[in-house]
Amino acid sequence: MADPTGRWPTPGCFDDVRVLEIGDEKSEFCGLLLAGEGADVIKIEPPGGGASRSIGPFYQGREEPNGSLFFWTYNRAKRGVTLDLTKQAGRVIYRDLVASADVVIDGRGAGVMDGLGLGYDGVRQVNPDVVYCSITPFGLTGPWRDFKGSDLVHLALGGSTYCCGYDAVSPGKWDTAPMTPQAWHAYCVGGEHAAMAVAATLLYRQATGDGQLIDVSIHDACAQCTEGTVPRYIYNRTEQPRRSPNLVKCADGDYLNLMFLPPADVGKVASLLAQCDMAEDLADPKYRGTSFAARIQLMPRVTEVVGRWAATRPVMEVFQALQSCGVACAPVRPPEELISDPHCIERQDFVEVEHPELGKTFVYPRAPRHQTETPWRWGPRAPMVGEHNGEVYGTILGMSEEQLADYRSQGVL
Amino acid sequence: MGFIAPQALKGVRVVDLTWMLASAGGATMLASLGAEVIRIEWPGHLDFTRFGAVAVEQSASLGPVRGPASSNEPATADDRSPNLDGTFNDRNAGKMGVTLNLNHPRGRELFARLVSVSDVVMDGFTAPTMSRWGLHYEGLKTIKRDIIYIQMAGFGNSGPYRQYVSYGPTAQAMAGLAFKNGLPEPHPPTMWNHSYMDVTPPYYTALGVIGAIYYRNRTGKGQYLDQAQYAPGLFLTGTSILEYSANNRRSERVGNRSVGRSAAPHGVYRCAGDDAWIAIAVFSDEEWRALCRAMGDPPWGHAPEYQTLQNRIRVQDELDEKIEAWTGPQERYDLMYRLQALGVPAGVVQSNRDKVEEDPQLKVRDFFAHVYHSELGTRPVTRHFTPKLSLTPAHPGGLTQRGAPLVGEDSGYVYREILGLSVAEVEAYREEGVI
Repeated sequence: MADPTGRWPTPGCFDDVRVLEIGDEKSEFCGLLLAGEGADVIKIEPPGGGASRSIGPFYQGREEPNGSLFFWTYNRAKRGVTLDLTKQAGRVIYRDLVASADVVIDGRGAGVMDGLGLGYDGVRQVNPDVVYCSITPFGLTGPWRDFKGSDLVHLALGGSTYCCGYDAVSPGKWDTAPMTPQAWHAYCVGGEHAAMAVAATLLYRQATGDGQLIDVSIHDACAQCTEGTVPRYIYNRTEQPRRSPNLVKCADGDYLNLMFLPPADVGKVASLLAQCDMAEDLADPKYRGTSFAARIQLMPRVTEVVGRWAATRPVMEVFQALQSCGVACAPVRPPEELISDPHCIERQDFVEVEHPELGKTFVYPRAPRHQTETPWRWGPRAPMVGEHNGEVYGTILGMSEEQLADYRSQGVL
Repeated sequence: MGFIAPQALKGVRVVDLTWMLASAGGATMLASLGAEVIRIEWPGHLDFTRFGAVAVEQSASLGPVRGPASSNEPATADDRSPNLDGTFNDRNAGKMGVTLNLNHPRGRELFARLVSVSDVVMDGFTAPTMSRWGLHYEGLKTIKRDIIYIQMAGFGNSGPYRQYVSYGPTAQAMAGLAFKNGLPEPHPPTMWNHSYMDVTPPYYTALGVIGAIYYRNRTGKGQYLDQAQYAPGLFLTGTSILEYSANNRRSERVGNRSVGRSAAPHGVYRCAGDDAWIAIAVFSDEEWRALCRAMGDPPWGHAPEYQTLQNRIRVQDELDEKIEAWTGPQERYDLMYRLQALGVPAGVVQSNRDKVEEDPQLKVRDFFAHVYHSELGTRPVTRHFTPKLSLTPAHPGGLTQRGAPLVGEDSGYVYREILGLSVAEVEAYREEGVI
């Protein structure tokens, strides 16, 4: 079975798995990842469309439910249906749908689906071995369980914000606030943790037949994503210093991020810059001393010298020249410039996705990885509001055209 | 007693040739889910993370941890123990450790024997390294037909930059993520000053490997996965790519202002004390009225320019000043609790100290596990896999019930028990410089 919907040409890891996704930005990134791995993800929205359809930017600036580029990004490769769970008939349909599913991703919030009788306990009545993944801002337990989150609030509480920003004006004093690396990453990190959990529990179910409940806390996930900064505090009682990154500005105005250079690399940079007489004193043995502390003090001077050289040529040339002698660095480019990057072109990192209702195609990132047997499923484009009502309710639940029309007129769909 | 070995990936064996943070982390996720992860190292070329900054500074706070106890000289890499780095412990918990020299032909023979009884091979070398040993996917397939091989080179295994060097920060820059954080032009970007592209690829690695095992169990087919370090970052910029493609709009930085969903106020504001801040995000007029109540209903809050979201967005700069004048003298946690009680999304800008010492939510949810390390003793280790699984809970101690392995800590178990070598054979390999 390549794809139960018959719409996709290549097999996927989870193409025997049906996922029901309910909720908004909290659940849809997890759904996107599972769809990418081939699962048949059915997104259930209230009639008229879900809340994340109101998040911008919008296609040509027109704020309407089928025009959210945010929604397009996070809902590719899914089918979309509408269903009003506040109505009894809607809840009956939901139970029937759940009976046919393997996984439920619930982003409605702690206790909301339970209140409708459709939480894990309710769903288990009709589907005992279901994998039920709850994604909530702070988890199903704990004193902050009912706190309100947002991208900004999660990244602040999770520790990302604290680490990011500009240099202090004097030790411990800043004239600018910490800078939160937003763009909905809190929900992406939550979704990434959730997708790993769903995959692991599906593997366990494959072996044993048993489903289970997954409790994903976006706060826990964000707190984890600051990586080594936490062990640094645990072992050294020191904080990750918040400071501007090591950047050099190139002739075209673009920045290059230069890593801290090990002694051998300073030598390589010195030889490279010497070719155009711009190495200044970088060949001096002091730059190749073995003391880490001494070298780190010299790094601003190294950056300064590299900066004077970099200011004479465009960032891509600087990047390639330094990398060709083994020096770790990268251009700090806006994402859209990657579309025309030769490396991304050769690796086919982008793909044109058709939007037939507009008669157009748009560029999307293809996949977070490439693989041989089950390549990432990158399309079709996100569903319009209720686009697959007929297909899903007709083929899975055997609903007739008349029944569909009735439910539609009653506002159930 | 207390420890339940994680079960979700029971029976899965992983050969781990990972490096540093980004590639090592994916295998750690699998270990915490119950896979048997065997990390291969060679003493002549150990992971830098074994000698990272955390261990360097560690001697000051926790007493001498390397070299002679009397020495006050700054140590060099040569005289430091490879077994005492806190970051390495956190990043490689739950793995087994063996020594194996892959540059030795007999080392590659032993490697093949290990692959033949394993499910997954993971490596974090630059792209051509495994091929030089004949251990590319085609080579590994001849050892085990249905092997799953995931390669985690910085720039991937194809393309003009495939041999370039990549670290977390540069991968973040390359992927287009770094550009977007910070104040608008002419200010430079701040990037993410924690290494987001060292922590994100492991999520995709773990998902990809588990998916590939699931697929293999159904079909009998293994596969090759090319997981470039920058690729998940690029994947995360989807909305920016689309905005350029569909609307011809270029990316810009907006500081702490809201992205995509209208909000005002929306920012990070000073609180009482040094480097103390709170994030406040007000999306609706209802939340605005709640914030006004928290502020004691100041008259300006009722002025027409602050009454609706659209109006507040127009006067954001002034609004931010007014909010900060109010938050400035206040204790950050008290303020957060008061705002949240009134329904205003707000959160303290928590430092790492705050996450370890203050955050009651992380405490209740056991964010850290105390795990034994054979030289460091029992230490808190991050539960990198954070979801709570009701039936098969994950644990960072994995099957080993330990933190990161010492160099070669499990060579005996792996070579004797798994590969069935005799004591004499193990000794012979050791003398030859193979293990």
